[in-house]
Amino acid sequence: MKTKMPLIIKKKPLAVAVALLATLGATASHAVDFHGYVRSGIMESNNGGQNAYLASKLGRFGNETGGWWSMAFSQDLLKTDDGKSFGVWAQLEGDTPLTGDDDWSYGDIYGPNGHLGMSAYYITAKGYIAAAPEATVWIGKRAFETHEIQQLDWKAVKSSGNGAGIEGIEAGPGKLAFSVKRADTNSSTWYTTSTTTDSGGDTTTSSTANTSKYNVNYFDIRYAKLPFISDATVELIGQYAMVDKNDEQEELEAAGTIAKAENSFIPTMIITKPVGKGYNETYFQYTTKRFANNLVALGYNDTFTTGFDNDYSDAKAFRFINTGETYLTDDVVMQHSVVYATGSDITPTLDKSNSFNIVARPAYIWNANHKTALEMGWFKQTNTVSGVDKVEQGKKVTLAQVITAGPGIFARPELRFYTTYMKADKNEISGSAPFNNGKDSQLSFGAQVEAWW
Amino acid sequence: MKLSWFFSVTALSITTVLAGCASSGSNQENQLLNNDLSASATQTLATQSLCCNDLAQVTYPALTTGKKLINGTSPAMQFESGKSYFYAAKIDDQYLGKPLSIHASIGKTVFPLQVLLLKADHQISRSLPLSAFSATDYSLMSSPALQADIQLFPEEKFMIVYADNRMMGKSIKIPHPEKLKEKATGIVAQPYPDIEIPFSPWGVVEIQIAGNNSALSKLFSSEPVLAPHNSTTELAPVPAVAAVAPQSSTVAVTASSQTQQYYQQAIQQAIKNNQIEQAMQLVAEAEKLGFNDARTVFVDAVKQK
Repeated sequence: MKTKMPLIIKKKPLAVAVALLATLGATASHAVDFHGYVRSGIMESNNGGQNAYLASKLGRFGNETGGWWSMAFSQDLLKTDDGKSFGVWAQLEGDTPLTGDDDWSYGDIYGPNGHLGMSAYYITAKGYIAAAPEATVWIGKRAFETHEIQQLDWKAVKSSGNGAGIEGIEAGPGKLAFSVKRADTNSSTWYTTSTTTDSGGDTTTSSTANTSKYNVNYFDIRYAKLPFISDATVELIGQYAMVDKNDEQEELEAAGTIAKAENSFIPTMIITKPVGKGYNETYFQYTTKRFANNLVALGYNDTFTTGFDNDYSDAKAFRFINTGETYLTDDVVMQHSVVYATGSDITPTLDKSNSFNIVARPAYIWNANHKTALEMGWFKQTNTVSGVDKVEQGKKVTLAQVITAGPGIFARPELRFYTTYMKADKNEISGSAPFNNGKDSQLSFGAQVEAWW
Repeated sequence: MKLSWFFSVTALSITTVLAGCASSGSNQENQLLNNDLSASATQTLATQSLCCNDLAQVTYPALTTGKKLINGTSPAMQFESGKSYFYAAKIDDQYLGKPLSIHASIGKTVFPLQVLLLKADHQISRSLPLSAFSATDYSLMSSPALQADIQLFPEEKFMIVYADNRMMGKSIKIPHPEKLKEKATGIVAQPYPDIEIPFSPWGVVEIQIAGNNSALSKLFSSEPVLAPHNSTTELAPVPAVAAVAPQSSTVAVTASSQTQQYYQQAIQQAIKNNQIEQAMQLVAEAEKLGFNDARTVFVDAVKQK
């Protein structure tokens, strides 16, 4: 450890003093702020393996076969007396399957042994816009204010990518934020065949899969913290995915070789209300074209395009979500999520889609360190495919004992010991039984830890 | 299938046993942190006899680092901010010049701590009011706390940690732990309301040597940072208290002007001794306590060199 030499003022003491005090005011870098998150565990079932089943519909509690970790570093690079500041934020994330000893070898970002990636790195500058000194400008890679339905593990509002934005603009009763991000994505796949002839005169025909990468810009505008009724607030969000095509893509679309990629807009209204020590949150969303499929898909319903893999030009969809946590008594807390989504003309073959799911998790709080939770989930989705109705339906029950380690009621980590029973009553949409051995039900048990700091 | 039923029964059995263990008793610290005892503590304090009439009469055991439980078994005295239980200690030479971290753990209630630092003759050297303490965020294995780091001066020989009795009946608001999860994941926290924590005459206070210059402490500093969602902690404002003529059993803590004068002299002496960094630290501490003349004192002292 270096020994600091004493700082001695010799020449021009007043000038030096003023300079020193200026540095005291314009504070140089603070310590790095480090935050982390980890989720891991083990699960075993009665079918010779572990299977999750539509956690997006039935709830993720006792229904997860993967772990996740995140490390976030942030630091004030500069802070001045007049409220200006520069900061940096960097975040690494990854997931880890829970199936083997070699799952800590991270390959490519989407490799079989787990994800590892830089999910965010951006710089912020606050106080440098004269007209809005309270606003913060940022540039970099960022997932701006992602709204997650935590019980179901998908993002009702998400826009992520490299971009720039401005947030925290005071505008009337609320706050405004604008951003634009790039999230390029693939076209639908088309195949080209080629024939080669070898020296012996034998010909070989091969088929090659091709995709084209669309330049997609996401424009995002949000007006938040608007007073609503009583102590409820409203946030209004508009997200617009704009496709910027090159000449080749225009030609491929005109020739019908690939599906047409069209711009898509999704407005969202979120009503948030505190309920005692808990809360209640309601989402209303309506959209057309590509975003519509995200709302009704049988899977994770993130509001974020994942590719123009089909013709969504006539698609429309609406989604309602209500989620929250309520203390029924001082010792009983209830967490719930209810989702209804409906869509029409999603693709040329998917005429209609209606889905409803409900998850409820009451828990009894024994004391600051122990609670027992029971989560029940049910869903039904009906897709009309080329005029034929297909139904997917299932249920889940999870019983868990939860231990919060450490002193106090706010300490983490949280350890969960659980058993889960799940049954797929109908699987006409997925077309196959979801569990090992071709079974339509599974009894599983496991342990999970979740911690953040 | 039989094996799976065996495992299921075992899992449920473990669950039941753990649930049974959930209701077992906890130690005194957990009692103070996990229960709202503010009402009974206030009642007990009201009838508590005073141990001493002035600071020289207090018993000062040697300071040790670690947690101190301030409860109904602690001594009580009348301070200017009201009657309070307190923790007192003698600062041995091993702590001289050391930075100390003093904090009151936040559980179901929190102790509204204030600190007196005394000279060898029990005269007040410095007084740290409640406003000098900031709420820290959650960490992996500990609750949030009201905390301050202080640098002990060589002439400070005694310490008293006591409560601001004017804060009883009031509360502090701290961010819900879900907001910390947002800092770790970047996902907007579930909109839980901030948690209101009432002040209590009893609490858990911890004193440690602060590791100001270690790389590790810098990495895990609880200083506020520029994050996408800054959450603020609101301290209920200290009410304006009408001046009361000190009674014979009241410890007169006219520390504000004394403390300000002390910082003025300490800054001047540090400049005189060419201890510029110490002088700057004193300026920062003085400003945090609301003494806005600290910079002027610094500049004047430099001019006189």
